Amino acid sequence: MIKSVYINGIAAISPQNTFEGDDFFSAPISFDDNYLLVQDADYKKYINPVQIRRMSRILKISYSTARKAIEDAGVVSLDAIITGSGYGCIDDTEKFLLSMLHQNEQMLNPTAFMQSTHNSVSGIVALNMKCNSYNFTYVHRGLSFESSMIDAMIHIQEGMKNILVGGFEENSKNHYQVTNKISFWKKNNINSLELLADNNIGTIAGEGANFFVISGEKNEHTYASILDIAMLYKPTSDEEVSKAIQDLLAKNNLTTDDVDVYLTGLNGDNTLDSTYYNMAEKLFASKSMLYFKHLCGEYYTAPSFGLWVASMILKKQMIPDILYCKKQATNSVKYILLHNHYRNINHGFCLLKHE
Amino acid sequence: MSSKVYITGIGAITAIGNNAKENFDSLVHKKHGLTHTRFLNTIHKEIFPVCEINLTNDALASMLGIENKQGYTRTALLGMIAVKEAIEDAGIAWKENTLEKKYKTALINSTTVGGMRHTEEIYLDLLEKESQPETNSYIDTHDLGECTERIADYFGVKSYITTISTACSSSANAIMLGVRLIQQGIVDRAICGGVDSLSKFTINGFNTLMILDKEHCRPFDNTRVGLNLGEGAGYVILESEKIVQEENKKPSCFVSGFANTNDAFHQTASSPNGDGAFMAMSQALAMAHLEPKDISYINVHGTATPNNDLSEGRAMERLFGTDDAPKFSSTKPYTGHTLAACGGIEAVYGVMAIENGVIYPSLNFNEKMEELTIQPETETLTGVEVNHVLSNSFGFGGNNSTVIISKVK
Amino acid sequence: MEDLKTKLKEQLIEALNLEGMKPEEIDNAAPLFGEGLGLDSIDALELIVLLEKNYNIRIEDPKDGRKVFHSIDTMAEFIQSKQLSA
Repeated sequence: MIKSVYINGIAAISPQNTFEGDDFFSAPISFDDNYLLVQDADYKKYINPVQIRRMSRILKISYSTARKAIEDAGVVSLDAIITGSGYGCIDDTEKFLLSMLHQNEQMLNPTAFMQSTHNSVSGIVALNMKCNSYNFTYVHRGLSFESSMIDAMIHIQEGMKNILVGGFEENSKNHYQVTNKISFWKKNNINSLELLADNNIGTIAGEGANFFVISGEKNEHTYASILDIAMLYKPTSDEEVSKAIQDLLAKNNLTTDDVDVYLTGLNGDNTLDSTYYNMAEKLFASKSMLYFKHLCGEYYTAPSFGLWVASMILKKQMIPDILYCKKQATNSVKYILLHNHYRNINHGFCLLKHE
Repeated sequence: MSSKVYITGIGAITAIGNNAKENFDSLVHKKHGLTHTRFLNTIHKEIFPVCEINLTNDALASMLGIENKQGYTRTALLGMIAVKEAIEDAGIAWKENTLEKKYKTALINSTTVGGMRHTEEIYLDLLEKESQPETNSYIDTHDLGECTERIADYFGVKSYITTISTACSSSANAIMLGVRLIQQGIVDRAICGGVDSLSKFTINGFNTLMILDKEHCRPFDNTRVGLNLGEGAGYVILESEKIVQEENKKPSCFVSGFANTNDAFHQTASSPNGDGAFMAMSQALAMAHLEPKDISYINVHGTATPNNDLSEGRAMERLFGTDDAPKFSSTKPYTGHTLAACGGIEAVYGVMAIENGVIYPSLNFNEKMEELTIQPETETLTGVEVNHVLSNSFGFGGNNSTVIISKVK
Repeated sequence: MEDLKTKLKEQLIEALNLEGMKPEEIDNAAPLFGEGLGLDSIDALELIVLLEKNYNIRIEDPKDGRKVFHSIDTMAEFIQSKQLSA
């Protein structure tokens, strides 16, 4: 990208205490049922009473996070709103679907249907911000958030100033039960903070909303700059993944030596994690390897939580112990490579720089 | 707009035709696709007419040479059929994984309900019964990105794959993104469009909003009460100037302008004055460096809901005036409202309007709306110089999109 | 009639998720939409479902809802007239 792109505001509602205050995993919260839910915020602070009564849980979570990110960036207007979500508002979707099936298609409530659309969140933010400009929602599985971010970065190149970008996903018991049939989740309940200790198939289910204000200008709010984002679809070998990483670095005149931290989407599924370990060994042997899904669980847009973590590390120049998979001495953190993949089908890479 | 992005291939499948040509013939001969569903097991079967493609999933799979169709959703199959036509229309070799041999390609797909048609059939079984291989093969097809990956895998697209869902403006937005990715040099070529298959979920959903018509829908008519749902897929192939020159192609059209705006008025309804629609159309015109009078034909969103047509009509009158506003029609009475697919399908119609010098007639129009002066074209016009087609797609969440397709001189 | 109105208010509070609101806080004659309770077109659709679910009364044309849903008084009158004619 020719023009630099900055992260000037961030907010996250996650299974950890990430929303209020300035805490950075000083007291990580553990879950023991493979099913992580967010720490609820005081949504009434962000949403007026007329609206809140109709909003589903994920709408409240996402909308509040979006507002907080905007506040954090200190901007008053947005040039675009772009969200990413693999399942969208799955709770409302299921609610409508199950009533339809159980009530034989009769006496169904419109609200659940209306809010089941994937672009409900971006629409509600626009509605409340009176933002008449560009409004997109990407729904491509493990690349929903990366697609949103690339779109925003292109918009900055095209001249936009401030863009809200967010990833969100909600956990649902029914969906958990159904996807359990195809071995998405661990068979035995584990302590989420010991995610990597269980060497079996499956991971833990999570959720969250992570929003960012992306800008073409650096200011006192800036957390980091995003140098580049790349996506890789269905690599046939780890060599292909390694080449994608090296190409991305080369495109930005960097090598693996420049990267201080390899931040990964390790999720404890022994059929899926080997690629990260191979990259760490092959490309980043002398670098720290971090992970974050023991804190947020697995979901399509979990890399947006990864980006929140990376933004915090770069701004605070501090790495909480809970994030380390492999610790190497580092004086300062200048470059972070965030690498996440969804079932080895969708790989996303995000290259960040300290400002 | 910076470099030109050309449309070099089109493909569509709807209730009025299995390919673009069949669609064209139905449009000019005023043949609509409304019927009662043959394949969906819904209590609304006899009540709400729909535009259903008269092919079973087996038939769709065999059109694609897919022998074991387990795990393929109807949505994926419809998308593949339309993409195949578009790729072949653009003269792109794709078999044996040659599609990206020379040029980096993006697949930008869109859908609103993805695999819902299968989910709704198997969901209670999944929750209440033991695992079955057949039902399990559809578990991971529910989300909206799965069909995109099926399409990508079938044709060998790998460089850039994504899916957009902004309700009924989805595939117009897919086209916009395709143009921007090519202009930024991220890819050389983009396959852009959308697909949705009929489902009980959407029929019941729109029914709760009380905007389904039990009769044939009547866009821009004073007596309109709602829409008819449809299913289908429509895609365009966008290519860079570089490809067009290197491959010595002679495309008929290019994308000259577009805009996406938000009404920021209401969660589902459009603003009565059509502010979002007005902004989308005027920004798209500005990007294309065109005056309102330059537009030869408007393919309106025209769903025939009381709210959409009033909002869209007022926005058109504000922008184009009432005296010599461009000719316009809605093709929704032919195809039904195909949700995410309509922007792609209607872009295909726009290209064919330019290539054939034709303006399609609206159906079921009898009485001018009391709030408006303008009214849709009701007869097929041939031998018309169609230089610029403006196509509108508006959706829930206040999402308004306009794409302008222009003739290559 | 008063019983019906109280019942109706309870049902309305539940269906529209008017958190923290009590039946006695809703004035029988006050408009439910716009100025009054601030309900909108989506609530109107929810009220149509409410009538069907609880009173077995169907409103086919959403336009008819406007008059019926003006206030608790008009809703109660409508329900009673339908029940009498049934």
